[in-house]
Amino acid sequence: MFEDEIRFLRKMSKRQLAQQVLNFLMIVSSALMVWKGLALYTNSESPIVVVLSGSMEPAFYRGDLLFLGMPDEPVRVGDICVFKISGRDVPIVHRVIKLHDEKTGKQYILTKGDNNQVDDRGLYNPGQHWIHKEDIIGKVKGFLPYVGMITIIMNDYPQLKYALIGFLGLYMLINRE
Amino acid sequence: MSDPKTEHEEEEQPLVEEIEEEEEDKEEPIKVNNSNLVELKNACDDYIQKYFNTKTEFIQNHKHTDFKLILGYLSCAFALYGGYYGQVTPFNESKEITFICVVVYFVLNVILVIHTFLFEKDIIFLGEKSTSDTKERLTIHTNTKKYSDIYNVTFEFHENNSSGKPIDGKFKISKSFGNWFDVNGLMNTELFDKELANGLEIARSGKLHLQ
Repeated sequence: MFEDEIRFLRKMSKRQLAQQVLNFLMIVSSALMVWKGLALYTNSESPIVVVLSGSMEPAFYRGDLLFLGMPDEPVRVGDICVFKISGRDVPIVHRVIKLHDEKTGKQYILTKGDNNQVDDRGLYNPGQHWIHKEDIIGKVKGFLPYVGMITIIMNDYPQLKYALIGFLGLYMLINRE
Repeated sequence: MSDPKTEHEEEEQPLVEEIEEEEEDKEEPIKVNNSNLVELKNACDDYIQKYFNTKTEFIQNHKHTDFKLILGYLSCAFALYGGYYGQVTPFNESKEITFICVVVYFVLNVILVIHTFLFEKDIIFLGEKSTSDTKERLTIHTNTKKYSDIYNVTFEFHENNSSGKPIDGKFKISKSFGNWFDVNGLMNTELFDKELANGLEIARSGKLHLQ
């Protein structure tokens, strides 16, 4: 099936092959560095996230893309924050509804999804009643509707993701423009 | 008692067969898509490099390609390390190293672009030939204009010999790809070889020519 392409790769000199592999690596590296640069600029470890559940309707629906930022100022009631509960990987996007500030600057934060009946204490770890600023990845600064659906589909059908990356990689190696 | 003559003949036969196989590989015809200008140019550029490497006595100097490869792989190493480091350490601690990797990556890439723009430009072949009393240098530039089928090849020749006076020659061919490719996209290597040999001779003669 890929005879032509394999023959093409074999006819290349060592340097040309090295150049083709480099082209592929450069694409990956550029994407990675742009992502990391954005993370450093917004001071948030994951500056763009996708909403997975409907717990923030009618503000955000499943499949929306959210842009995050983490300024140095303290959290305020009413901010919509993306936070991770320690020990779990999936971040949650809910609103801050209650706040206690200590003089040291440490904040005790309680969150709740707009569309949920109860606050998030049921989601926190057993015995945990509050979260803190360290658990928060970022505050929501902006959003784009529907765009995140692509990520959801790719995660529900991982074969699509691997197939796409596979074909893109092969295309990069063969193409010489 | 074995006959030395027939034994010798038997040994010779396998050697001859091997050489024939190699020649068949080398003469595999070059076929490209006639309508794709990029493919045409790449095929000609590759052939020029192969021709000057094998059919003349020039030794190719890969300094531009090597510089690009080394810098390219170095920048990717920084990028991949920065990405990996960010995965395994918590965000706040990884900030400094990630920042350094991002900056280094972009700086190296800028250097790469400047190098290609200022130093490499459109050079596709850099060759040198040294004998006991002469040192010759050949530089070949090629370019094409967008949507045009004219292929420009510039031969630049420089010689330093013991007589003290350096020889400098320059010769440019501007011809359509159609001169060496037929309707099916097969390259007529003999014709192209003649053009290249002719260009080299004229450039060697030490005058400035434009066709």
